[in-house]
Amino acid sequence: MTTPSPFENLTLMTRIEIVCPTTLTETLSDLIRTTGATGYTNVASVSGLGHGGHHNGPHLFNDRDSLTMIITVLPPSKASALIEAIRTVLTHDSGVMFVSDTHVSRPGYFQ
Amino acid sequence: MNLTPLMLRTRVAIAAQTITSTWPLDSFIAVNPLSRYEHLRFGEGPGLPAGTRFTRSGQEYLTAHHDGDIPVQALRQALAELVPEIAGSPDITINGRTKTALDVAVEDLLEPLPTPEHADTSSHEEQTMPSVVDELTAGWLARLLGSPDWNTRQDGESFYPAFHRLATRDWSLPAASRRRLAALPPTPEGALLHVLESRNIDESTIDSTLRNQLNALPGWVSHIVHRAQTEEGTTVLDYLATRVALHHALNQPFPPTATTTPVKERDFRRDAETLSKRLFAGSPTGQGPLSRLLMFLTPTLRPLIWQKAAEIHYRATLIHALDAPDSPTTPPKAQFVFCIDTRSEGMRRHLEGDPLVSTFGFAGFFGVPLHFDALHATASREHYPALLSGGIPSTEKPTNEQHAEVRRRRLVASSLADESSAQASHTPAAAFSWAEAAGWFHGIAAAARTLTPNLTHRIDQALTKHTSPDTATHISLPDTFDIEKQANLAEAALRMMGLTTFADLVVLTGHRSTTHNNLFQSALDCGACGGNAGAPNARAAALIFNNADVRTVLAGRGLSIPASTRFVAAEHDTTTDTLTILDPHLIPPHHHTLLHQLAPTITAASDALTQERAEALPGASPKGKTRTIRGRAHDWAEMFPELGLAGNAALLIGPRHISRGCDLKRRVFLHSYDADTDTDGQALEAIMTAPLLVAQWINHQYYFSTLNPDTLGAGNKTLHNPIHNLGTLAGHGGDLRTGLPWQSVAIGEHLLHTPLRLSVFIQAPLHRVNRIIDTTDALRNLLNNDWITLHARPHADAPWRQHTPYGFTRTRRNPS
Repeated sequence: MTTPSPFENLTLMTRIEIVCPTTLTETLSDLIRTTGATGYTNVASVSGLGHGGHHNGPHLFNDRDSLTMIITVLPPSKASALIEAIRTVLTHDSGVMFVSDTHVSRPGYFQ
Repeated sequence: MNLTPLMLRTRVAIAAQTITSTWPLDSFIAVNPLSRYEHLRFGEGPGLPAGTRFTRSGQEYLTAHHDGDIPVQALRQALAELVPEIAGSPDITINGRTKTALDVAVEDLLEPLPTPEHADTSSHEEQTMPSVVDELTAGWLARLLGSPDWNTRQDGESFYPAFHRLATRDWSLPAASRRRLAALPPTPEGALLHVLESRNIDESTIDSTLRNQLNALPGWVSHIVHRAQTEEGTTVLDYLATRVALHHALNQPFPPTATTTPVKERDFRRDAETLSKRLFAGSPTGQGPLSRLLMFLTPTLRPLIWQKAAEIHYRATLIHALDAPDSPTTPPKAQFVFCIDTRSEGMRRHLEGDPLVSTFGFAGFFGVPLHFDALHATASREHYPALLSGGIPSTEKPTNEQHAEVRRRRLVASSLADESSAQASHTPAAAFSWAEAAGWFHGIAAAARTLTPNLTHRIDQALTKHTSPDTATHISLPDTFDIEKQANLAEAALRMMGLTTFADLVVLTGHRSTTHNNLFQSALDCGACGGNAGAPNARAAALIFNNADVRTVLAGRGLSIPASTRFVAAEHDTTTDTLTILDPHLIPPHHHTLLHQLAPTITAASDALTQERAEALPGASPKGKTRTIRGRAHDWAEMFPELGLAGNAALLIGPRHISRGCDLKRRVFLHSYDADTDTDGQALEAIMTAPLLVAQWINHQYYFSTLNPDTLGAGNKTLHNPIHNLGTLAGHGGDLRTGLPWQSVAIGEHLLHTPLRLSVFIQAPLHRVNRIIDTTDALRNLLNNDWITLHARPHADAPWRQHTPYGFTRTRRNPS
């Protein structure tokens, strides 16, 4: 007897995560909306270590000079165009993009 | 070209990445207009309009040198920093004479060369003349973004669709142009794509094409970038679509790419020969070492060396001024907390002439960001720094509702009368009869205001007091801003400024500026309060600090505020140098007595500061009457009511006792900080990631407005016309002006502001400063790319050490 796949009854989608300067958030959100993605999530003031060194998290009196993580999930058919658009923006500004397959239980929310 | 709407938006976003937004007139915030270039080395600006200046001209530096403002020693140090190869070069011997390479380089700098200012390939005249598309675009922007009275956009209609709908009916355009416009798609993406494709703009030229269109009206574009953050339907894409639609309709060529002429390189051989003759008694041979040395001193680098030398010299004078601070031995009876604004330095210094007074510096919003509804105001105001994204909803409430209602009715009546008068005077049909009926009265009033501004102001004040007397109010904070949150802000503020022992009276002093007929008034108000007066923030902070429950929480965190201590709000008027105590009805009798005892100190400080400021104020005399000098605040013809933050050059973060009694000439932002009370470094991190960055914004606003008055500054304010609250035009049309007017930084050809990049000094453990820099991109960019400099020392007896990309210098000497 074979073990059922954990992805059974789930729908394949593409998950795009971007970590970028907060000042770039509006631009990227606009591109995500233009693509037809139905939503996105912003995680403000993320911290960590990158090739440019350490990046600290939230500042007490500065919401602007920090990094934001933007997460969006959309059907693979729409993802390629958005990936190319974000890649183009990030060649001119700082930031990183991660693209991965993901599975969702309510595909209608993302189409 | 086969661009999708998504890729078009991507290209537009990339073209717009270098644009810094500009705030409207009523909340004018100082920003570095080149903030989007801070990731590049200072002096580099790809894509900037041709002719943008980062430095003064060679001749201006030589004049400063001859005036003693840039001594040779400073030049030597600047050379050693920027061109270490020269400092490490062997001596040069020619014709039996020997000189060090550094000496030879200094001698070379003292000979003028043409300044490497970028020049456009086309003629200057051609570049500065607005095209018909510029004029028409600016007209449509003013019409659709300006006064609501003119705005003909339908509800929810975006800018480009509104333009497209209306312009096709614009009879000032030729019929053929209207037909071409009507044939364009009604969406901004569609129109932009259509025109770009019709002009064969391909992938290789689209970025420069879009950037040229943005550079054509950079002031309007900066406004749109700001507006797009809060308003839908007004975007850079709409702007671009409108512009190219007009190009298309009128069959006008796109603006050419403004290529800059490469900086003319030096003729090293010829210059080496000249230098050899001058320094080595005319030897015709052996100039090889000289030529090699001169190759380091390129025309691009020379002005940057001069600029650094000017800053090194300023730092030396500042360090010298800090040599002998006062050390009062008696504990203070009153502590005043002022904004870090450079204008506070003078008031603090004079107040501390009284040994029983001590002062502190903190951002003028006192750590309490407010979204504030003033009593009887028609709109909320954002009283918080531009770095923050929101404030605490707060309102001003009357202590006596009946009095407030009487005042409200009278204000409404007065407002209605003013409004009716204004409407009548602006309505074509009624303007002439209005002038017949009321013109004589307004003529007399205008003459009185012009000839006797002080007297007219006093009469105005008396009438207002009589017709709508002030009513006592207090600040009300929402329940959601609970005691815990209030205590968090209070603790942060106290730790950031190192205020841990308290006098009986602590005066939180916000600031404002009183000027008349001044479109840039908010540039003189408190930047930390969003270009507003600082009184509401001071009042809210006093409310929080006086709250017994907040104090209980603070005591639990090791910050005990004695029951005898009272926080009082005040406001410093930077045009009149007066200091007004606010909310007197909330002050207990004992503290009233203390304030009464302090009154002579405050008056003496105010008067001394007015006399001091008069020395630099154009048209004022230090021997003049104090009242006359202060009267400039009420003179609607006065071009220089005060000098704002002109002259700003440094930020000092450290305890006040290292600068108390030192005359810093109102050029230094002063932020109090005590490393001993900030054991985890969080307070310093908050200072370095907010007030430091704001000080840098202000500094570079003044810097670039001085060097580029026509492009990054607002130019001559005598020509300014306001466009609603958006900004000003020079004359009746053209681009929206950005930055500060020329009168904020100069009078005629004489500079009131010496452009120096911000020098930051911090007294704190070096490893703490390093850690904060290492984890903050904004600071790393500013420091490693030479936009600012930073020196630090762990304690008052240690030498200042300069931060470099490799850590702090190990030199044992102070900057000189």
